Amino acid sequence: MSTNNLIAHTIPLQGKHLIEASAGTGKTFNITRIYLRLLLEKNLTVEQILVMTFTKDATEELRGRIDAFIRQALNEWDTLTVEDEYFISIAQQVDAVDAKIRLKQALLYLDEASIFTIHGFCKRVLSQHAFTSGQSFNLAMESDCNDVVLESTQDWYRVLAQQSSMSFLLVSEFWPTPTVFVNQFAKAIGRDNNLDLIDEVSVINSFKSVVNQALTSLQNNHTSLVTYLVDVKKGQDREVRIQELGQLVDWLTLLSNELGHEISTNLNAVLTLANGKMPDAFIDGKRYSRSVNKAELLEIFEPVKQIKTLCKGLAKSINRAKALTLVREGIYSIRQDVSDKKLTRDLVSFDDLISRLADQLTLHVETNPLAELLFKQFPVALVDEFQDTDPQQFTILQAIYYQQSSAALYMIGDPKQAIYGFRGGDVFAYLDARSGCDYQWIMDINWRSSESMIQGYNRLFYGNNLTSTAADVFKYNIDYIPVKPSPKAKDKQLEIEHLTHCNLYISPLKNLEVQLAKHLGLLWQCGVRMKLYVYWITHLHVTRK
Amino acid sequence: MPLQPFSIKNYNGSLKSFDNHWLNLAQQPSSHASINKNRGITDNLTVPLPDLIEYDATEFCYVMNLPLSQLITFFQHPSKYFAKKQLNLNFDIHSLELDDVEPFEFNSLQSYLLREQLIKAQLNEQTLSAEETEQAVQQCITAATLSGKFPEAITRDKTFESWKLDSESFSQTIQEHNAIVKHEAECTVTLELDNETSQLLIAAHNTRNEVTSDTAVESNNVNKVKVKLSTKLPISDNKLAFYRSSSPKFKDFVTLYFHQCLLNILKSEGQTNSNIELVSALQNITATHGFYFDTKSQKVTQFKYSDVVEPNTQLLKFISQYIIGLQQPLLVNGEIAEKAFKAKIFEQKEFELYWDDPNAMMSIGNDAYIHYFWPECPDYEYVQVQLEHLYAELFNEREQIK
Repeated sequence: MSTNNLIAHTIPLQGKHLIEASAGTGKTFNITRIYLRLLLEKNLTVEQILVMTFTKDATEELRGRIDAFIRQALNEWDTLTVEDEYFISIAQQVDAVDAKIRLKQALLYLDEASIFTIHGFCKRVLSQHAFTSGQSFNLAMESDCNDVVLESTQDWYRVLAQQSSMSFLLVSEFWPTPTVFVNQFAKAIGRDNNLDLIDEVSVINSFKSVVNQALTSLQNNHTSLVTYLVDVKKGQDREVRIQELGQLVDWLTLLSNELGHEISTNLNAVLTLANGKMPDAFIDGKRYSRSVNKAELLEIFEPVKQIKTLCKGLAKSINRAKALTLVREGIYSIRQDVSDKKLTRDLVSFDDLISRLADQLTLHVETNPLAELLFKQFPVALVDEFQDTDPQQFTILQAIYYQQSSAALYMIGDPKQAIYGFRGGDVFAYLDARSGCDYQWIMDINWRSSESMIQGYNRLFYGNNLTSTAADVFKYNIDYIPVKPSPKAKDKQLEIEHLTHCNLYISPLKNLEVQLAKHLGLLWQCGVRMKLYVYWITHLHVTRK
Repeated sequence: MPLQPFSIKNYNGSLKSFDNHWLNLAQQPSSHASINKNRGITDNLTVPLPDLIEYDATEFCYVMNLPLSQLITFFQHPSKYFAKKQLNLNFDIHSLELDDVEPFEFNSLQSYLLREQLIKAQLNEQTLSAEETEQAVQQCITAATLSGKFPEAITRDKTFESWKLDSESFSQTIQEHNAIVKHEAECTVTLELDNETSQLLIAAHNTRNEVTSDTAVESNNVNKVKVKLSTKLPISDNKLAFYRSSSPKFKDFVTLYFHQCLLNILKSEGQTNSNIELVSALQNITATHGFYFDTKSQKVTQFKYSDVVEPNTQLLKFISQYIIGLQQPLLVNGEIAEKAFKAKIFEQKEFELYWDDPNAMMSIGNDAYIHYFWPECPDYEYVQVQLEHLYAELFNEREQIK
């Protein structure tokens, strides 16, 4: 699929569009323009155009920008339809009187506009379509449901304590109280996935492989060991060394044999051996501290040394693995209990809103009445900050818009700014969307920064000279398309004295903007929202001449 | 003009428009505080002394009855005692609501109380047979199991079992040292307060009692106050013995020390003491011992006080401080003294670290009462003088038996 530059007045008002917009390229500017076209050309109302973004602040900002743009269009319609390419294009399709009526109507009902956060949207849908979505009319919203989780965990502890003392002892050795348990496993309880774990057998097998490796190392290097450790001594000392080396090999062989038996019946024998005295005379190198072959000997004994460390914690590791097996069952049971309790009490957390709607919409993919209903209600959707959408949120959009040929869905984002991983944001959902859309657009002119700033971060994100091949800076198939400065960018120069307000100390001050770009790169690597900093520096602290 | 009351000009000069009392009120505490804010004393906060004495017509003097336990409680945390008794200020959090959830972990206070019961059952005053002792111990454990104060799981039984073993081992050590308390003897020691303190107490007494009777008229000529310190002495074979199933704290040392002072006084009174039974019971007793069991290290530590030099003077020193501490908060907590006594160097820097120790579960500066009276860490030199005056002998005469 080809990628073209987005032009707001020519972009089709139908189909699935993915718009990739770097910081400062006029994303919100274009959203408001597409919005206005939908109002006028598709004759939609503000209630019918669904705009979704990530934070409440962003919804307010978008509403304000749309409001301002509609007002401008209304007030300056006659001039704009002569001078502005965008408005000329609209005027060819819409009559001026009609247009003005629709704009006035849009302004009048702007408070009712469907501009939501994803959570706000889900809550609205679940309660508005309570019958179709199968939810209660009076859902009680909780920012988190920690109390319910703790209650369910306490129930699980109670049951475990009564049903199996041994299991309870195992679990309470590591997580003595429900509170400690919840602190450790809250995330696992909150999700719905299968849990993988390293079980008792894996722990023993990995121990076994280190034992065998150690034994092999000693056997393969037997000649060297005899030469460097035994033959360098004479008389009684030599005999002692032969004996010590023999003890170590025997001990390892015995351990290996014990591990070779059926472990369920032989675990005690293994643990007795592991907890007992290990013949470790040669392991730490003190016996041959001045030997020229010390390094070689240490290498031979390295796996043996590992065994010593593993032996100390073997019983605990096995117990932990056993406990984790119980914990996994516990987490599944707690999840179920939490979900039952929430249903009975009409409770939903913010995350439940999304998962419940996603569940409802994926019940019958082909003919889902709720999806149909939502499509009728919102025939068009614009999703801002799409890079931070998680798979469940994307499922919702797919269910509503991917089955409808007349739908228009605009997904606007920048994979380079995916920063909400900590709350489920998933850049892979973005990449999936990219492969499934009808149109892909980019915005490659930066309207915000000065020319040398743009040059600086182009170099940084491109990872190479702009004339050479790009380096894979972002990985995961996320390319960087260098942005161009706007025609006015040359006028935007940094005033150095204002940098004293910044917390960034940058030296030397020559090549300042390139240095700044580097600094931003560092911040970005730390996961800090790049856009915010670019905005902060360009708008707040660095004035333009 | 806005902010008039905040301009000092409006209180002074020929055109003053506000009452000067307001200015004085605003300025007084700050000037006082500036002098004393770092001295560990807050003498801007003083309250009148309560009436602590009564006239004893038989002895023709005023008497202040003071249980020793009260004095010990005071020195555990002087400013807390002051706040609670004198200011009626209580920062202790007691939830009135019952918890909906049964305990899943061991409450440290409940655990301690049960361990104490187990020790008591093991060291019964009457000589019980092994079976009877075992029965008494089992009874404690059954009561605790049914109390609902401990987790309802196998961990509870295992922990009880380990505490039982601990109590057996601890009681065995106590027995080996012949330290089982055979009986507790009531005793009272009378000390005469100095003139200045006596006058203070009498003045407080007089302001609260109108002269109505003949005895009161008679008492007007009396200017001496006697303190009657009373306690029960835990007497074992040849010592006064205390034990607790916990590592020793300051309150243990102060308990041992005060009891040793009393013992010394009683012994020096000898035949002059009218309580012949007591005199004979104390005949073989020379020292006060404390036994403490540390659950973590599973070790018993033993401390001892034998002869205290000038026990009367020592006790009077503490009693005078107690009377001062009823009028104002004092920063003479023994735990600070103990910390300073143990440390090689303990100066302002160390004191500040101790005051607000990030590694401590509850550092002294974060204690609600201390924080209330001393929001900032005071200068150590002022605190040090008072601590040394009070506790130097208490720590120097302490003897650890290994």
